[in-house]
Amino acid sequence: MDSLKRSFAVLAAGCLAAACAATSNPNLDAARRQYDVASADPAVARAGGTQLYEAKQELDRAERALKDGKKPEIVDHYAYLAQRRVDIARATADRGKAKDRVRTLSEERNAVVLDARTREADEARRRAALSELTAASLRAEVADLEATDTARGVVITLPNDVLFDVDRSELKPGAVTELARVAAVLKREPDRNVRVEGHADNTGSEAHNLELSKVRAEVVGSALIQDGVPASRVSTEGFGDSMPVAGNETSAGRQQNRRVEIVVQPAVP
Amino acid sequence: MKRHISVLAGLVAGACLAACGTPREPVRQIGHAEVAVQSAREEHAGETAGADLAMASDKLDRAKAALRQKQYDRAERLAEEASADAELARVKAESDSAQKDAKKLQTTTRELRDEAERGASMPQ
Repeated sequence: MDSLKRSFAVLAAGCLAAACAATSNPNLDAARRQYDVASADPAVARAGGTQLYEAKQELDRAERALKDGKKPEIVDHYAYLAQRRVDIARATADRGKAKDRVRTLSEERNAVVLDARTREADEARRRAALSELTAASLRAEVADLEATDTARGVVITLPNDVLFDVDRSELKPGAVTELARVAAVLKREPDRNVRVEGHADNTGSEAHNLELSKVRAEVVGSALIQDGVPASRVSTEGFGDSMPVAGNETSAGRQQNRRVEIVVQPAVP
Repeated sequence: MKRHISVLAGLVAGACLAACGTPREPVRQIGHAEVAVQSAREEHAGETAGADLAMASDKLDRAKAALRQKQYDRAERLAEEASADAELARVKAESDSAQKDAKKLQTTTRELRDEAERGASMPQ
């Protein structure tokens, strides 16, 4: 009986000795410090809360193992796990930051795309509105202009008397201003081709009339180009007296036949 | 007194059994580590957290070796550490991939914005 008691006493003493064998462990100290630093960082504490909690549990296990006099490798093991949990908490916070950034940037990109689409739609609407060029809208912009809607497009009729002196092919000063106004409207119509056609009455030789109507059409076309209508969209032709719009018997009729027509063709899609 | 002693003896025996008796094979821990290493690999952790992933993979191998040698405690510790290393590698890889996405988005957004501005200032 006594010997049994004695042996327990020895066992207890042994346990005590083991417990006192080590009171600190450098790896545990390091892990605890890392844990404290990470916990003090609000971003890490917020995003890596679970990981920090687990780190704390590992620290507690390490402390207990140390107090219970477990082998240093056991304490090291728990300290290592604690350290890793702290690292994961930090990495989780980094990942959260990066993901937030991705979210913000996607929203920004979507806004830019939406903005561009809206702008494109506005632009298309504006163009559509402008492309509704009619004789009436032309007259509204260029006063006293004679314009008619036809199947060929909007036909602007300019009497030769307004444009040229008799038998000449230089534009009168008033005509230059008038054509500049027409050109200003045509410039806004990038999808329409413009055809300039010269016509004459039946006085004089047919060949002369044809030649003069051709030259006059070219002069008017050049004036439009000079005023900014792209040359690629302007074509000219002379018809002489072959296409009268009135009888050549009266002077009023002949005056109507002497003309330059600007045909603003329908928009090419 | 005799009763006290027998209770104490029982306690000591129990403690001894827990500490020195044959522990169960840490199959669960090794399985867990295996999954953790695999999912880190799937996140391409090899490229961005290569050292952590290599460490996890190495510890997992050593855990399996320890298991074969019936060093169950050692196998368990290695497996637990492998899991933690692998998880760190995975989170680092996910973080890196998100950062790359952010950088890409920043570039495309800037390009889109430049393009839109050029379009808006184009002469009509």
